[in-house]
Amino acid sequence: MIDSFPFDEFSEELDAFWTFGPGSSTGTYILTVLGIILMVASLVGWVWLENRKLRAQAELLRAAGGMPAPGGVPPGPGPSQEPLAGPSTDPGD
Amino acid sequence: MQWVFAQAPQLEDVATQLGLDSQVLAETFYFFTVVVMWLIHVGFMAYEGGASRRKNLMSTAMKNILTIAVVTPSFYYFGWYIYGCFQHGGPAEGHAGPSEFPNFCLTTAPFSDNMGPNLQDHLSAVFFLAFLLFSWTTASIMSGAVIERIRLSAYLILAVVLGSAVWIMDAAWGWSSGGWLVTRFGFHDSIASLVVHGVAGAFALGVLLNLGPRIGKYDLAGRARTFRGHNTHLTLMGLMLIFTGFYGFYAACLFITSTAFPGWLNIYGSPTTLGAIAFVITIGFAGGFTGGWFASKGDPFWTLSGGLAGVISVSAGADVYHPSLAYILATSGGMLAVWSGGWLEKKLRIDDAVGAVAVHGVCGFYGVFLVGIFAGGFPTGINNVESSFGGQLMGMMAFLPLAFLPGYIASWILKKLNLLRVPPEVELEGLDMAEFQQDFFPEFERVPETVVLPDGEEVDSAAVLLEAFGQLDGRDGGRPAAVEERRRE
Repeated sequence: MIDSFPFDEFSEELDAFWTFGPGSSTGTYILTVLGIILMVASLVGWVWLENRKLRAQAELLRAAGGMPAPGGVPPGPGPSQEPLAGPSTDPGD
Repeated sequence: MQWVFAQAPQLEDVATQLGLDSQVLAETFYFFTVVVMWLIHVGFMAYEGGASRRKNLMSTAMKNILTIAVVTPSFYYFGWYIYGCFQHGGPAEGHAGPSEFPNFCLTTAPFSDNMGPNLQDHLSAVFFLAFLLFSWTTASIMSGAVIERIRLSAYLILAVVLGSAVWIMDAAWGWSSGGWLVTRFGFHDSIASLVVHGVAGAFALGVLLNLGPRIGKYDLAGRARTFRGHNTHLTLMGLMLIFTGFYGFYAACLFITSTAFPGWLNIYGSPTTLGAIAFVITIGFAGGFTGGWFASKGDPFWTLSGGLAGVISVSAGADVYHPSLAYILATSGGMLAVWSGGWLEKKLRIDDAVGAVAVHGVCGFYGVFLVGIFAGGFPTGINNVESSFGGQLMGMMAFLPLAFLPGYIASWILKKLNLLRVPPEVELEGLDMAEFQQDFFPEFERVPETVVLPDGEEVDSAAVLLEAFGQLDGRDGGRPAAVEERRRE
């Protein structure tokens, strides 16, 4: 087990306290950098995943005859492309 | 007797206890303003979801939800620091804060002692949270304008730029007691007419210029068609939720302290009361609804949007306006939003799906303009610099480029990378099929999607949209066979 709480006891003199803390410590700097990396990676991931979805759908629509069905027309029996993300909707899975 | 006095609390102990009480009161107060402000985002989601066509419902709502996912960390890591350290225009030497609050800058860094559990600091975390909710709101104002054709990921990047950099920079300059516009020019925008609404509207305008209108929005002569949102009831309920959340927004714009007269200060440190600003916001809604109703000749959407515009128009001076003045000014603001919205749509041919540029942008700038006329001479900030028309104009001139240019440039870069807008085929079919591979009303039969033509006739949109699609870049000779087939049907 990692003992990540670097404080011996609580008292009214205690101010900042957290695991891998307190402020301006190596542990907090590392956590901050990791959080920023996660944030940037998420943004890149959103761009990449959406681009993949949109290109797949656009190619599928073009292959189906070049003209998509506008919103007023029933979309058909099921998903028009394989889901790229999210839980499966197939009860057999 | 001496023993009795010895047991009594000393004056210092009482003062310490009262100070702690005041801090815990403030901590609790801001916590609940944050809770109430969540309703703004529930409202934005319902408002925009209802205004979208059925085929774009979830893509529209997901923008509002994921605004929270991207603006929260980016504001935590960068935005709050900008507010704390850039009040003089840039970080002072050694990262010193403004002279009014010398230690504030370093408390806003994400690794500081104040940005985590801290027994000696009840306020930094809740101040941060209140400003974070302002940031969500600012980003969400842009989100409604761009629905039904922007990529979700492009919106999220733009939301980070607006919510965690642009607006908070202008807040540091003109919405803080140490901001250079406040201390030098007496700029007065107490409940953020311009620093939140106007700036978000100007940023959205920059984005819209690159994004372009939805397919079929304008005919070949440049006349505007109107798309029917799939659920006006949802839109109206969303607006009412936004109004409810605004009370939390207004309250969070004040400082509260129980140990100093009069207990409340505005964002600049000038005295006011919570009741005074709540009075103005309420009568501002009344005036805005009235102005919106008459200017739009009773259009439901613009009547409610007029309420929002009315409040935004009086927010800048909400701490000093008499309710009657606020009522009159808010009525004019509601009318201005309707007229400017029509002008942007029909004359400038800017497809703003929810009128955000008119309601937030135009009325945001109008609000600080009005302060220059009706609240000139009022002492602003802890240095008591008099507000003036010139000072308000200085703020407007500083914030217009600060907001518009980042929106325009960021969206231009995304456009050049082909990451701004969805492919036209996907836009025509509806974004939900591409993004989520499903229709979100599976139990309801689809009725034909309609569009209102410039002459007021409401028709099935399929032929209109397919024709507009065919005209994109001369695609398929501008009149594909499928269009002819649909026309024959």
